Amino acid sequence: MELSRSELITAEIVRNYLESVCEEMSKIVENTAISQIFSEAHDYSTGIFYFDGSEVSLVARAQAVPVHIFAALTSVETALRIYAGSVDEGDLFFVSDPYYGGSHIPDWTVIRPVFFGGRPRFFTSLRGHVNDVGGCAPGGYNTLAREIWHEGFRCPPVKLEERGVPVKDIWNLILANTRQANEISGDLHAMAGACTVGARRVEEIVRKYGLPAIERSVAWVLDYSEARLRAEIRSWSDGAYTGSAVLDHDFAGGRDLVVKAQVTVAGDGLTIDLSGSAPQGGGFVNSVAANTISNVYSAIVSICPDIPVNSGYFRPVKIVLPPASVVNCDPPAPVGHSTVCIGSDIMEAVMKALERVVPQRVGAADIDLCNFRVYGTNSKTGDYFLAGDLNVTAMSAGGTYGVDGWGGWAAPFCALKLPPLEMYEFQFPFRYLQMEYACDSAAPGRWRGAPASHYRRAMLDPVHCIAYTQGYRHTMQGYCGGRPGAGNIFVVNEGLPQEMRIEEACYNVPMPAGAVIFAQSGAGGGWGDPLERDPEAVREDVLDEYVSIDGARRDYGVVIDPGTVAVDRQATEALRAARGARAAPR
Amino acid sequence: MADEASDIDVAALRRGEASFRAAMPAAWDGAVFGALAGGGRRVLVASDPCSSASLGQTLRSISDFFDAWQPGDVALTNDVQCGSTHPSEFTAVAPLFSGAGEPAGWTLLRADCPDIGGWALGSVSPRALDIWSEGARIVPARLVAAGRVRREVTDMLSLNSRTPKLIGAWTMALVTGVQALADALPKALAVSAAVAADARNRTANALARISGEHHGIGAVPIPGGGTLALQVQVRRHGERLQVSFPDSPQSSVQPLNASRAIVADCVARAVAAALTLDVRAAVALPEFIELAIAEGSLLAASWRLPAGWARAVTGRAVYLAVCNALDTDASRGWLERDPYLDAATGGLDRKRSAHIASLEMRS
Repeated sequence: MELSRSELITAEIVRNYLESVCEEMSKIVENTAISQIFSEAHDYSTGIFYFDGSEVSLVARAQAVPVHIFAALTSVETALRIYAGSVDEGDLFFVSDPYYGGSHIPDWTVIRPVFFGGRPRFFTSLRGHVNDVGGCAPGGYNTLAREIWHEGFRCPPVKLEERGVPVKDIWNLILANTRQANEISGDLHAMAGACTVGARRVEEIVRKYGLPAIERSVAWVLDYSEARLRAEIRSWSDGAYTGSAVLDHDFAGGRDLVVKAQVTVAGDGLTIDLSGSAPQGGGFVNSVAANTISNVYSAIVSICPDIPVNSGYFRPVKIVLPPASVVNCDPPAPVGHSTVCIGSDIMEAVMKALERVVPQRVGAADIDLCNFRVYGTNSKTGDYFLAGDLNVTAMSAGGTYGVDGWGGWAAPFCALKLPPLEMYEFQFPFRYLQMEYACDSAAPGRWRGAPASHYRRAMLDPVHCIAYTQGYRHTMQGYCGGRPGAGNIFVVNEGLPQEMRIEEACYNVPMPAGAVIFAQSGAGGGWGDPLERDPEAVREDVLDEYVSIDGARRDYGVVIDPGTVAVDRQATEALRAARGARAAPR
Repeated sequence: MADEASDIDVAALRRGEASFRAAMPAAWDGAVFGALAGGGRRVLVASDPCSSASLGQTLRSISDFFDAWQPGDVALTNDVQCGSTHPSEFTAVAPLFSGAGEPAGWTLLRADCPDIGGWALGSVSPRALDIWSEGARIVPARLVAAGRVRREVTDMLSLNSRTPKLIGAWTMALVTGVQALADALPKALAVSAAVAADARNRTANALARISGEHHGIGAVPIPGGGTLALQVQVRRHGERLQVSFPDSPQSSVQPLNASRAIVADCVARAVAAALTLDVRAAVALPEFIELAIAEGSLLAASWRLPAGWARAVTGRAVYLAVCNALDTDASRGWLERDPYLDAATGGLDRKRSAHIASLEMRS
């Protein structure tokens, strides 16, 4: 599409405006939602979609949890299909079922159509992870789930508002199927409010420039992203590149679930084929197609982050999914954990395939989530409480070219925030005993991964616990000669006779008042040969206690004088030369 | 007049229930009960009159929830907080009108659904941690609005059921049945006051036969092991019957937790058996029964707790205890119906599970 010079300026204004609307929607939810998974952890994403009468396109999104907003496109399409002919001004849609374009049941999607000329042209949307969705396990992560009906209340596309009037019994049905109706009602109202404000903003810019100008701008924005990515792909060497990742287990006895990705670069297009991935299994790591596609897109976006993310971006990418597989499951397979486990493995497999294509851009883009939920009665308030804690999985950043893994999640997940421990202590009967890096746990590399974190928390009231972990045996991989990250583990009731070491999961385990849970969150792999890491950088790591003097020698071939903590350059060169002769080729 | 109207009403109830069965696959044998309530939401006649306490609570919950009603509306719920005796039991409600304005009466149809999620087929399992683990909570929802079936509600029921085709048929059968009741029962509205007064008088007269204080014990095996034993004291006080449960157990982690409504039903069932009350009179029993139950105990448990066995085990223990207190043969009055529990597992028994699975495949 050719635009005049002034139209180009308008198009950029429109693009940035719509992205700022998404940011505003995001801020509204952050400031008005009740549950800390929204207000502090920021586990939601916003987006604006455009409908040209036949196709829905993602036009703009805020800093987001990437797997949310890509899958939300499918939810918008599904709502339009189900309500074909009966979408009206003032409607507000809701959907949570994974098999209707969702990802997993706790990810709720709210959609507001924006009308022009009597037809819905835009949609403001918000997808957020709510704290509980009923079902057989508090918190929505049922480690014993073998069917979707074990996971929570499934909601097809429904109208929360019809022509501006709240549909009372639908609201009530959705909220009655959570264990925290009061809090989650506030969250759902915040989501709806954000979509409403977003819709108003879209109306404002259309009033200002006129619908034809906006539609031309949107079309150009989509074409622009497509052209940019095609140009990028053209610079890559044609060929077929394979990668894989392995998930420890499926929580149902299945072990070592492989995700395989073949990335074929041909001219200015990519085909990503996940054939050969494990068949769908018994436990809750199966991924619906929309979730898998989200994770594939997230890996590519990580490689080319400066291109505006919208549906145009994905036009050069074709994705092939094997049926009845762990990456494209059929109902009634359980899917509760798939947004990150198997989702992270999907991202990792694609990233490993791209390692030979764009080695200086690869690194950990996934999140090796282990988490737990505790629930019980808060003796301070007498109320039932239910809490997860993202601080238990704080580390997943790995090294990438030029950058060590930073202290937190991999880049695509950085819209998620780690809630302050003090806020957890304020709201729940917890006391944190430890939250710090573990020495000698960072994956070695020319650029190392983040250190693993060690976490200890005491429960001040009796609770029950559901804990689930992956990445104990198959940890996050290194790239281009970097080593893999440390693994994840839980210990529940640490030091008590009923202590349990959790390498997979536990369900509804009682923890008495004073009991402690310990977790190691292992972090991403390193990038490049550790023997090529700048010795001064290793010395800095030793001073920061990320690496011990012994670790510096063992993992990096750097000899440091324990008295002066200075690098012994001669000894280092000699040690590295000796090791380098035996080192595997990169 | 009350007698004649009541006879007509009972026959109409049977026809409404027959409409439900006719709309279901022929092999479906789940119990179904119809009832009529007046404008004051008092249950006037019911084919299972000893469910009038819980039916009344369901009706009040549903009618209070919606601000307005129209002819052709049908609403339903399975929620134990709204009078359902266990999570797989649904009650559909339709308003009756005689001209414009507020409903002049209500028809109700109660039946167990094949499955509404939770841990296992049939939506009853000892693994349930709480009410949400037992299946979808369908709080009052308008299934039919002015004659138009609402896709949102039918889709929710289907998605949350392991038997989507069967529950689809069952839902439409409920609608057919409760609407058939509405068509067949308008005459009753005209004489509802007389019917209600007649029932009260007959019940009051029958209750006068109980004098003094009576004690009893009822014990029922708990699936998987153990016994639930309840003690009861029954005493007439004026025209009312005071029923108390000394040393009532605390609420349970097992799905034994009952509501006052279930307890009232089961007490009524035992008293009706003891006094050989007919269906016309028994429906008024809840008005004469005062329950003294400790809040938070097993018999007045938090609605958040699992309740899958509430009728089949706890309710039956209540019934047996009151029968024992009133020196009555307990075999006559108890209605054995869904859920059919396996004594060992506490889930649906295998034969019933296989039957439901087979019907779903054939649907």
